[in-house]
Amino acid sequence: MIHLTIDDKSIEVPEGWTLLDACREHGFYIPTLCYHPALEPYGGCRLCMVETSQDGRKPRLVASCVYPCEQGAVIKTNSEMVVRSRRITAELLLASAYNSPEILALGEELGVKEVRYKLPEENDCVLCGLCVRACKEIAGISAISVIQRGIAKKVAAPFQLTSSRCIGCGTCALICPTGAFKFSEISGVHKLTLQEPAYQRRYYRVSAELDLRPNFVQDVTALLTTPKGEG
Amino acid sequence: MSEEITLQPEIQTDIQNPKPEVRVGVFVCDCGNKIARVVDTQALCQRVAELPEVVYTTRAAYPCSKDGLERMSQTIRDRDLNRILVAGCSPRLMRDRFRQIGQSLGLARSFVNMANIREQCAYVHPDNPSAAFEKAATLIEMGVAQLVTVSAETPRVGRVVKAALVIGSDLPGLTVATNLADSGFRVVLVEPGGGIGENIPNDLLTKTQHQLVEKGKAVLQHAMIVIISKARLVEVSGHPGDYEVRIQQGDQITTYGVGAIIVANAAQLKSLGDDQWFDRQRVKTQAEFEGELDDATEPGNWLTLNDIVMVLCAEKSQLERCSRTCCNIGIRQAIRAKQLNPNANVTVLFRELYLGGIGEAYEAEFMQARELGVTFFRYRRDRPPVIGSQMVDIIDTLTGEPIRIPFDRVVLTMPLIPQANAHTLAALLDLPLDDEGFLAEPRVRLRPGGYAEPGIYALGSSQRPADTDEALFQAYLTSSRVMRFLRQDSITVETPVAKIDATLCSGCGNCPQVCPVSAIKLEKRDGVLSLSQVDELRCFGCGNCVVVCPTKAITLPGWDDAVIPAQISAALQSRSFPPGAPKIIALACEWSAYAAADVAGAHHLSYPANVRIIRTNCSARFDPYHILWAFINGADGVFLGACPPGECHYGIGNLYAQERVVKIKTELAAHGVDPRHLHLEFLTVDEGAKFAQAMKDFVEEVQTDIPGR
Repeated sequence: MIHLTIDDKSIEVPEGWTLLDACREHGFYIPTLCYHPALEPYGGCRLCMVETSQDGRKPRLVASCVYPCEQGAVIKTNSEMVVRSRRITAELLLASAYNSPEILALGEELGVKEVRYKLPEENDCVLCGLCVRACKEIAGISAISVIQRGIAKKVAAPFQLTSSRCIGCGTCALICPTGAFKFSEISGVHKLTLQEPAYQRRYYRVSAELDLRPNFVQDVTALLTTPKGEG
Repeated sequence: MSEEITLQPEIQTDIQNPKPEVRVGVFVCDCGNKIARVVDTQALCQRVAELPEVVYTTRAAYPCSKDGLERMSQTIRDRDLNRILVAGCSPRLMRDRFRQIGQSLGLARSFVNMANIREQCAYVHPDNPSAAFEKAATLIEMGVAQLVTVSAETPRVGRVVKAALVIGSDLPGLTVATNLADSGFRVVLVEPGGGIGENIPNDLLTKTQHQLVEKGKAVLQHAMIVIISKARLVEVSGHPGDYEVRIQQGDQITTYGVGAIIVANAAQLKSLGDDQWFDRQRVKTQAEFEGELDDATEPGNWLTLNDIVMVLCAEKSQLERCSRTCCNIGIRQAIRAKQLNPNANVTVLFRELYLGGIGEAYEAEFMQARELGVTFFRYRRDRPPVIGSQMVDIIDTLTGEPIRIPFDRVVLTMPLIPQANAHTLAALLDLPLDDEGFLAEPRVRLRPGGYAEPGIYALGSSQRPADTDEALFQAYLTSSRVMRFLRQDSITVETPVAKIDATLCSGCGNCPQVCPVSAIKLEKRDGVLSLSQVDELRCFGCGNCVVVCPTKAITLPGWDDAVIPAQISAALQSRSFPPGAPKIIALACEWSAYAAADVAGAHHLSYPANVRIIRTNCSARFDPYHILWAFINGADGVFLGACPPGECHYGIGNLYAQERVVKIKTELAAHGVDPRHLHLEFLTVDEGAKFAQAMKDFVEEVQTDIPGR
């Protein structure tokens, strides 16, 4: 077991836990955006930063979702350094996703008073990577990934074409925290041609034969003489 | 977004269980306080504990955390629980996590389930906590009802035969065969013609001719390849990974076991019908002209032809598809004609020029033709060249002027059409054909690189005319896909699979007709009637057969006739509907409406709280009996959500549903229920807003129709 102190409270957690696990378990609130319990931690959004100091070393910021609990660590989840870091992160998120209700709420919660920067074009995608990871880890497909670098970075299917690996489960659209994920743009919709003869044949057959009443076999002898009954 | 976590003491309720074989444990999640902010989870625990099957309830801030999962597995062991219901977020995100816990303790996967009280409740009814609470309680009651009735799913394991059947002996077929054989898989190569590596057509690029000869040699010498010449496929049975194919050669039929089937049939040239009015001495097809060129080997020997007109895309007026190869062949022939007789006037009339292929070979040929003085005219598709007795008339697109070209030889390019056996093959392998008779490429989005089922692959000109480079490219792609498929030790199918009760089956033959993957076959049975048999590895569990079975002999575990009505009853007998509000049951396909409802929840789009969503696997499983059951049990409206036409994950389950809805509506009207109270909506997975709006509209419509409310 590992002993550590979070916000002056001494706690004990099993080995291998992250700081975020410990905080959640003991009721310390940490804002997150790219974290999801069903997925491996990613450390992308930098909202879960906490202050850690150990053995009298200078305090520093770490991303709690990926940082492991260390013996004797002293964690502050709400210090001035932490609050300022989170506020700047939220402000930068707001610089691109300035109309997203989720990000606006986040900014308000973290006390962002004004947004000093603004991208010329609004972009709700905050590159948290949840959709990409959900596609890989929940759906097991990896149809999409984060492509390019720097400000051009975005989520797309290979070659920026509509994906042929996508099974259309929509987990990406569900998990997207800002609603920026444009499912139809990425997965593409290839319509099945309804002219396919086999399908059509079956379809019309059933539509002609389906009846709500149980159609028990009326005439067994007729059934036996038709090739249908013999398979 | 603020999320203050309240750590309340856990409530644990222990109840004497009247039915010891079913011990349900309900774990209610606060999700930090995302759920607890709207729904009183403590009261929920107490409420749910009243259910007779529930022996244990608890609530936690995060049951999905590491500690939460550990505690859950400890509790399952301590309390000897055998059914687990987690009330929290959408099952589409977290259910697998919880099922893994269940599996590690020996619980069947289907015995662990989730009640969606976050996306369907807390997120969408934040302003109405009392309705949200009642809805959450009902959702849990429905979940418990589902768990009590559901049967255990067992995954089926099938072997993979390390062999493949390749149909077609052209370059792509030979390439796939050698690739697979080199990787250690046995290959059965069926060639409709005969003589691999012989009779190489002259109109191919030299490079391609060499490739054909080399591949042919490699195939003939390979110890792992069995070649069956002048043969055809006559019967296929089995399922992906383990097919049994019968191949007829002459009078002899041989049976082979293969794991995968690759269709690499070439296309064939359409023949110029005999009833054409052309002077057949002067009008030839491209293939015939190739023969003439071959005969005239010596330059200068070929002086008889001075005006040669080539018409590309001839006979193509009603076809959309480019045949890919003919432009290149035409240009090559023009060059040869010019080389044989430099004084000849060679004119090429084209609609569009396709100079495909990899590298510059084809374009270089085009430039060479231009330099040799071949004239090119483009004609419009709606103004095709008119071939007269002495002249060809066209309208040049550049000048708009009519042009008359005298000829003593017209060369017509015939389009590529499917092989004559394409229809038979498609019927044998149950593959769809497109309008022109090629094998249709279905649902690229849903079944990438493969074909209608994992073990069957089609490539090259069997799908659409392809040039050599394209076909080779596809051959390598397919080889890698087939290898990946055959390398598997076994195939495990975890989706629910239809089961047939032999004592109830009347052998009526309905189910084989509606099965989209031909997984059901009728077999002879001792006595009078035949019996349906399900191929368990081929069935993908759409539930269509269950609906059409007149004797209810077919069940689909997880979605059977006990589980869904149990959920409907639990939803309707509950006291949870506010007085005066219409009671709405929604049957939602998990690939469309259920997902859309989740997205509506994730975006906090509110819709009326008197809707109870029941998840089904496919809209094909919208059973008329279930819908009637809902109405009989007091539902005021039934909402059905399916994928839009063409996007069904199980083929055309949504069209079956649509057809059934029409029938049920007439039936409802005959029994005094307003048919508008049954509504089918097509939704894609991300249409949360559309779902919320459709729900609002439907509830409003039902509400106004209820007398006295």
